[in-house]
Amino acid sequence: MTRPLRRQGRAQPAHDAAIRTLESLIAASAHGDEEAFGQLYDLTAARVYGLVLRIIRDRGHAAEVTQEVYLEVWRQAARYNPSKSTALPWLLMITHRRAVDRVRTAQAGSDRDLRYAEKNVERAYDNTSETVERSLDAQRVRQALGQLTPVQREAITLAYFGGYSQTEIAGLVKAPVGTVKTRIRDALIRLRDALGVNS
Amino acid sequence: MNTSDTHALTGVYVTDALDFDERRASDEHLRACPECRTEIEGFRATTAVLAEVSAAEPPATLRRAVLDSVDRGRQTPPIHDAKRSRSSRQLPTKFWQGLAAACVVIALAATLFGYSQHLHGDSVADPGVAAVLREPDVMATSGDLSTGQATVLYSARGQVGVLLGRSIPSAAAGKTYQLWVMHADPTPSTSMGLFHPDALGTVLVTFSGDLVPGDRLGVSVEPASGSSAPSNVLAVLPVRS
Repeated sequence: MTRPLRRQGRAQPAHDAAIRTLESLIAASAHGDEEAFGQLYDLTAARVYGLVLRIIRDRGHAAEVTQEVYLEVWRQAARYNPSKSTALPWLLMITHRRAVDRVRTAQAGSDRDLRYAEKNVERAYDNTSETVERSLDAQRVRQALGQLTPVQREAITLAYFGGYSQTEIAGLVKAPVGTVKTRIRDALIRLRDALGVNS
Repeated sequence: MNTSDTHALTGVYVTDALDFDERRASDEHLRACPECRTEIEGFRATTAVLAEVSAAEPPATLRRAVLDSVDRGRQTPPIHDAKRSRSSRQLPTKFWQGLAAACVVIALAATLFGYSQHLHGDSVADPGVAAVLREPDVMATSGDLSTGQATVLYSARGQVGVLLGRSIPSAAAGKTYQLWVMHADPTPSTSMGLFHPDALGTVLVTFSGDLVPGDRLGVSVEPASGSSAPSNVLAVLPVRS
């Protein structure tokens, strides 16, 4: 079961003297602390694997890419700079890029058609999806997605959860690339404000 | 890049919706644009929250596989700030791109190690090698190493590389091979670790690091515990043009 990270953090046993933040777990991993790395995995694997799976849509390949992501995190841990980014955005940036690279190189293109794309758009804010944990955060995200205009929602979903390039999206939604760019940015601004993310 | 383009860029940048060439151009722009970088940070934090809706339980076996692979994986040392600013996101001037390059690289790897599976096959013998091969900008350089041959594959984009060697003799008793990234003067060489060929003379070392144009990969012979600077250099291979 996936729970929001904050609650998992609090659920640490009381004898675990200090509750370790993701940032401190990455710092410890940079020194070769495999136990800290294991904890980092436990706290983040559902989000990493889930995002990869959403983009790649094949469980075997998603597991493989997830493994690559953590290997990269392990290797690059010393270069993670907590003053520049909190841990989860950093980790998911690596995750997203790896998944997108895989799906584009593999050109799973054959079935990356509009019909699938539309299904993917629906799924992003569909409460009945079986793989989605109904956490408060997830509900909040769905509400925020629901506040976007349909074309904004379509653009951000195709880009972030579909892994499509702006050129592919322009083709799918039959709009100029410049329009797609603007829609994605506008969507992110509205989501950022709706979710109260501090930048 | 005019202002409206610039602003629109941040969204497609964060969602990895740019094509590779566009991404390179954007990196260049972002280095010079603090407003865009701030917006991008906010967008990254936003997408990290978005990812909550796609969370899914990974297969139970994955944890073991991940921890096993890091157990073997080398870690990248932190980089000094001076070097970071010098090297951050420097762009290569030349790329091996497209199918032809990919085929060359795959054929090379196949020759050296009998990889029979296709690049996107279901099983991959070594996740480190597979990760390098999957990068679109992977470059290959070959050269002699002692009495054998060595090939370096490196991706500037993924900042990962692999040294492949065959027919490499064992280092003399009490000695070891050591891999280096050799920078342009006056930056001292960075050790990428020690390695030993297997009984058949095969070498496979993965490494990661942000190599900049002009950096070369060097192999030296050192006392068994390794050295802090290369002493007896056997081979130097250009990695970035």
